[in-house]
Amino acid sequence: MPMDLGSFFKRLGRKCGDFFGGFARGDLATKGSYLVMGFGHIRRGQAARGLMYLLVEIAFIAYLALFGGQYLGKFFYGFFTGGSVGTVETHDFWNDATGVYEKIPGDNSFKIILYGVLTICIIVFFAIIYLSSVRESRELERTVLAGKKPQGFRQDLRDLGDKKFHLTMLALPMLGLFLFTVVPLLTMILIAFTNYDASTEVPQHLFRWVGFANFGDILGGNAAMSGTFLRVLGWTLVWAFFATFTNYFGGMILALLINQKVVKHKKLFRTIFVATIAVPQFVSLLIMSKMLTYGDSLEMSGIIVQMVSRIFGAELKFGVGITVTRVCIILVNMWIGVPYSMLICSGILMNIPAELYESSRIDGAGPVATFFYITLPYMLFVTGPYLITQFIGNINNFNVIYLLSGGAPGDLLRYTDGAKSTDLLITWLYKLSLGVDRNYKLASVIGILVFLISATMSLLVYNKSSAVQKEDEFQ
Amino acid sequence: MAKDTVTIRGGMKARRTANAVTTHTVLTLLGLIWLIPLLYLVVQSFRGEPGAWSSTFFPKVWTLDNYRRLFFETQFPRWYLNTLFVAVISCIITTLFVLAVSYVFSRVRFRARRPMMNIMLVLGMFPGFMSMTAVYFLLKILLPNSFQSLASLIIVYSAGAALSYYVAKGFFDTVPKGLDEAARIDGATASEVFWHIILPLSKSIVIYTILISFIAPWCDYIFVSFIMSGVSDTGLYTVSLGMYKWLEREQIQQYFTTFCAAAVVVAVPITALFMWLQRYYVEGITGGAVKG
Amino acid sequence: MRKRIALALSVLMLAALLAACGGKSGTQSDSSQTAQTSGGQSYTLTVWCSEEDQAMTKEMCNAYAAAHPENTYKFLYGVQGENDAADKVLNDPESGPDVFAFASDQINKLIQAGALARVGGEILTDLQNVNSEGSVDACTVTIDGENRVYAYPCTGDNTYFLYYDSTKLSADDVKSLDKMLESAKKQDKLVAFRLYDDGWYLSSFFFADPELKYSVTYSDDLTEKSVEINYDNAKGLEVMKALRGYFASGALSANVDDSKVIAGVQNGSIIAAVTGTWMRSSIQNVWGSNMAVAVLPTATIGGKQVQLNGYFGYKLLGVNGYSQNKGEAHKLAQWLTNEANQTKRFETRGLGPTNKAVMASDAVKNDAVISVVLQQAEYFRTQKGVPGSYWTPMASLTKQFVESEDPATVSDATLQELLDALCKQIRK
Repeated sequence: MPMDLGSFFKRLGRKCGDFFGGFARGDLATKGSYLVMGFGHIRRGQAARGLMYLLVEIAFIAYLALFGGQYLGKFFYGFFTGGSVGTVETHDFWNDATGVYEKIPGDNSFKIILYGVLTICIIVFFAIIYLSSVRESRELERTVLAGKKPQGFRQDLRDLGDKKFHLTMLALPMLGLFLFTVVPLLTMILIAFTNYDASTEVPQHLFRWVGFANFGDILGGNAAMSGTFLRVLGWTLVWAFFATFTNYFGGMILALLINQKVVKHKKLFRTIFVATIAVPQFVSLLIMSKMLTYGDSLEMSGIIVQMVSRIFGAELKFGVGITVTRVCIILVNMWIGVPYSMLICSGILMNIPAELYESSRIDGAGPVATFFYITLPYMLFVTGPYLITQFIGNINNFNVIYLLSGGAPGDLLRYTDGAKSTDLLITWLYKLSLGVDRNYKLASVIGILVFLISATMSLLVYNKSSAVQKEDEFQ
Repeated sequence: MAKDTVTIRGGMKARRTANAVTTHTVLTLLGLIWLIPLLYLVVQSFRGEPGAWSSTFFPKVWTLDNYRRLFFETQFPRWYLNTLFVAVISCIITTLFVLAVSYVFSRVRFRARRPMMNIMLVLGMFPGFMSMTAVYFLLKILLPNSFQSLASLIIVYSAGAALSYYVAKGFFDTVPKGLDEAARIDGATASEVFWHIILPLSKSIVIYTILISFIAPWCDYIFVSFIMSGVSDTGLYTVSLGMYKWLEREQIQQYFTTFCAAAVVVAVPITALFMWLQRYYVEGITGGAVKG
Repeated sequence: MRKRIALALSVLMLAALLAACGGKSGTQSDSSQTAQTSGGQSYTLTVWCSEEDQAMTKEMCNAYAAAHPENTYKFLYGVQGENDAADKVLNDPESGPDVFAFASDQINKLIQAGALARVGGEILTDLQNVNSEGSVDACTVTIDGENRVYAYPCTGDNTYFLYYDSTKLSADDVKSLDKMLESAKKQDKLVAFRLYDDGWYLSSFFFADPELKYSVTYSDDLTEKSVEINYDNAKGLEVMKALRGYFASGALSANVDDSKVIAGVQNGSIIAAVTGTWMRSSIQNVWGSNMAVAVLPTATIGGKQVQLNGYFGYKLLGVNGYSQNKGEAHKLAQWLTNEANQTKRFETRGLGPTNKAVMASDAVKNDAVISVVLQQAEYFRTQKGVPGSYWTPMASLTKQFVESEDPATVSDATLQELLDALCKQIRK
């Protein structure tokens, strides 16, 4: 670690040296390009490129002056004074002419944070472009001094299709990612440090920075809330575990069953199972939720509840009993998930080298031994990363829980703040963002905690699995 | 010697037949269990008696009225076309983005590559829905008059597509680099290598990506419910949101059978599409995702 | 193969584009315009109301446009039930509807978020004159010591009462809950009373005792400062014990919602239901002239027969505080709640009016359902000043009764635990 920091600072120092040294050593054109971007380029024969840099600079300054600057000011003002985000409040006043109470808008705290983040990011990008323009200017000076001709604009364009192809390809996707994932995510992360909830709706109210208070609450400060959080987290992990492994082994067993030599109409069977996953998930889940509704009399219950009652004489209290609901959810998830893993396992099974089976048969191994010593290890090795992604995906499996049970049943004794007993962290997050129990700051805190959990798990597992993968292919 | 062989073969044959019978029985049973809810759905879509609850699996009165109602009296046709439109456009954008990003990460070793991949890994671990409130406001600025629209949905579904590059990258990693080098020696630019050499060889991953990104808008509820929450023109819904609303407390009485009919109409083409392209899906997943 | 796919995709895209173009140009659904004269203004107003009220509201809005021929109006309609209209508006008030219908207990929440425009001037005086005291009170809040009105009274019957099949139960049976359940059990039928998953109906048991109540103190801008509730005392425990007994009776159907009640009424398994005026036509379609209505029965709580008390609320019409067309929106809201339209509401859907003149009319006076509503209005509690944290915990209060095989086995200690947890979540 100390080595890394040391070399990092050395590099930083060197870059600063280059930057300032270049200014000192450069000629007029180069010095000029520190202030007016593209000046050096224009002077030295790369007019088009220089012009583009100049336009970027003008656009940036215009942006700050007309839009970003004001928000930046308000953003940092609240941040450093520990006060509210924004200063002007909204209020009504009576307008005799129109006969109505008009609303005078004030500051919108959320927009301040959003635009503030956007502006900061734009400043960072501009800095990168600025530094690269200045660096190019210095290089141009050296090139010209060495008597070579600088690259023309035509060649620059051609480079986009060849040497700089990666830039062309990445431009649009990264822009989309930046605008619609990075900026919103940073904004919502910052919301976790404010007190933005149903009682501080924007733009009627201004909300404040509260630092780590929300995290303190959910991790122990507010006993009811942290109790609920731990329970929801517990169920989320239990659910992810069961959902992943029941689907995985279910799919494997099904694939093995169908794959046996004795089975005729293999394709037909596979098609039947695949049909269920081809039906859009929300359709299957919604119809299942109606089939599993529990009503006080048979006529008011879903068809599965009625069938269970008629055949087994037992009451299937889905949506009312906690354990019943949880088990049913896992079973329904198997219904829609096993065919997926069956497909994958089938695909892999067909790739297992036949010699392995041959040699094991010669050695006299029965089917069970073959499974445990050859099939299973091979499958686990190949699908290891897949399992991990599935597990983390199940932690965030919104559709199955929300469409099937909506989180129900509620449990007064153990769950508060809008969470119910089959809610995952992500469905709780959804309810906190939309609906009766709006509590945006809590939603952001939960989002961050989900991230931390996923990240920790990924790191742990990826480290282990990469260690395994460095070994030879299994014997 | 001959007698032993016959006995062995006879015993084995008996075992194999018993095995076959059990396996077939189990598989048929499982197949039935898997199909029953779908059968219920289809059957209920022909149900004549109104209401959401019934005491029999098969309807007492059979009718085609639900389908007629679906197409002529509800906004379903419009929802269907909305979803189709959104699916096609976002499918195109997503596929282009994913293929571009995964190819570049797989092939080009540029300086910012590792940091970029790590940052994207980290970004992907945040629940996608968490940023929705901010995205909603952003859309309000970008499309002030029509932010609750199909264009918004397309943006939401495809803007962050770059994050799902893993499977495609895994696939590209298995395409030998020798091909690239040979083409470069012959004078092709990087762009030509991508479009004319690598891509034609990657049919299965391209189709896989197209399939996945096409099906996504049909199945999504969480994002469309957020964007369209409170929109006055319910004709802008996609099928998932519209059908979900039909099952809400206030409307289920009238709309349950219509919902079933709609479900059949939505499911049949998607199912057919998936079955037709099933092979590519399996190839894509086993080729790319599994090897990591 | 590649060509085929490309072709298929382009055909799809073309088809979709055509459809979308056709679709987009028709984004304004059910728009209506009047004959326009030059020199008038053009307004687009968005109105939200429940599914059942859609047709009626469209007629009323068109009539408004006809009554103001100097301007051009375009109306957009949203389908939204009143009970959660407030929450839906609050998700994004700035882009919300201009006029929307909501349940009266949501008014504080809406005002606090700035989502309701204050009523003033002539319109205000008119509102206060023509509507009943109770309904005006539901629209009024006290801020900074002055009374301010923020909504228009629309219907005065957001409450519940008893519907029953007069061929199966006598008027005497339905006076007491015990008798009703006994009679139903003998006939192997059910009484639907949504005492699970909905605090609205459940409160009727708590309200039966005038001492059990909650109280909220508001700060100046109607943010809840503190909430007090005493459901967890000895009297609350008595209520829970009584509920336990009723759940165990075997004839009570508590796990119902509107669709289940209709299903039960239609197949005859439900012979009495506690619900409101919005179910009137569905129930009447089945029971016809055998449909009878009565006030809520008495129940045995703590050994005594007490009258079940409930919520009396109003459905109000509000103008969005962020509306761009406040002037017109206020006028429209006033129009939609005027005497003529309240009469129309009563005649079309049997909804109780708040307009004094309509309430005094013969038709309303002679209506069995409305008279029951008004009878209960005398002693029911107004649905105002309900703590924001009240509904969610109350909905789960009786879960143990529905979940366990025999509700009678739920222990007293558990009941007390539940009440304690409930009050803890509600208190502030």
